[in-house]
Amino acid sequence: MNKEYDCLIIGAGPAGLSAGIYAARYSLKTIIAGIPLQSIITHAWKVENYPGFKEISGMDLINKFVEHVKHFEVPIIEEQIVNVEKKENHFLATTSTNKKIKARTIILATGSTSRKLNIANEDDFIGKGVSYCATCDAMFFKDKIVAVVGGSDSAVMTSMLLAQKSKKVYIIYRRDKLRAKPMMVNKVMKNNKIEVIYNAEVKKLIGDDFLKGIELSNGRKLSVEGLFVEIGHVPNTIIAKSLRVKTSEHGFIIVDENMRTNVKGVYAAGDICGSKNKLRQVITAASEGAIAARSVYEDKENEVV
Amino acid sequence: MVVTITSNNYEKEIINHKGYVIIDYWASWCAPCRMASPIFEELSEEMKEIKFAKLNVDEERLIAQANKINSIPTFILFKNGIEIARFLGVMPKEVMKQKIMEAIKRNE
Repeated sequence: MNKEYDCLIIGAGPAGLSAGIYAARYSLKTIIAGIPLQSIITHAWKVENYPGFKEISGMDLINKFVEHVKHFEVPIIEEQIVNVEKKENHFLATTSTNKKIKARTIILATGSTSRKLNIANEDDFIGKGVSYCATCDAMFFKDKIVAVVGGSDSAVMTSMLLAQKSKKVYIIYRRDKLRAKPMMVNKVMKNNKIEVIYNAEVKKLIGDDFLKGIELSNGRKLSVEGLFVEIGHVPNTIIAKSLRVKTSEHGFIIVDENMRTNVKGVYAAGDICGSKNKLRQVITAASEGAIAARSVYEDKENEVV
Repeated sequence: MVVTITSNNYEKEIINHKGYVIIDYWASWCAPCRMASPIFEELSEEMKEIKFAKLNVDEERLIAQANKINSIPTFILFKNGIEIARFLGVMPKEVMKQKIMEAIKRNE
């Protein structure tokens, strides 16, 4: 506790771990708090666009990031940060087991969690048909009929994964055109197990103990045993808000081009920050982590923090 | 200690077991399962009155199907071979402990 770090990185996904690597190389006394396996990237069945890896699972990729961080001897404390207080010249963070960490600066890289549908009974069916992670749950829907909600890259990737084993896959999307990358949309169009239902939303979940079907906004009822929700993510900004860090109307932290927030000594990187439509990928998270670490270094050198 | 369940010992260790047994349904590729398993191990040392068991859903698909596993990790608590509660997803150790105790209390 007596030790004061130059930088505490909160979050151990691609942004936080990359910030850790760069901070170590700037010789900043750094500590990372967060659980790498909790990063949303572990939900990715396949990552095919991170340079250097033609194809790798999200979990394997994050494990490689962790190895890299450990190589530079940056400690990772695998706990949540539950509170951060701003003191005069430093920050004092508390972990879930009440450990205290003192640091001069903070990089917020707490990422995001899956957005829910926000309809009745949704929570009752989690793990009983409703899933936010196809990578985790797809195998349980072999030879069954399932639906995916959403039209993004993740939604399309999820439908491709499900189509390998499931009997039929519906994609339910509220717009009239999928917004995934053209190459992926083409794959969906060519897959005869996948049927896209446009201009529709899920209104009702049907079933007793386990999901049996869904009702759509256009009145259509579908018999499905699995419903995979891929409608984007909500930023995890509880700590940010407690530090009075400014967020946009969509809830993301506002940062300048060097990842500085409005609060002196607080930076942000990855899914948690930027504009609503910013590219949110492993590569951009890693890039922002690097930039944030450099800003910490520069501010320390210039005695701003 | 956590007993590994397969189709060979499922009947003996679970169905015919007198008392409480809890199974952790897991797989090697499941990130939350990897987070949950050390917690489960620790609980097995703290709650000696319950038998702790784990089942790999890849290797024992039929049992997983029979137990309607739809998501992992899932934990099912049995009393005298009959399911009395199921918990889904990773949770902190104390929360899980409490859920197990509450389920046992309800079924005494």
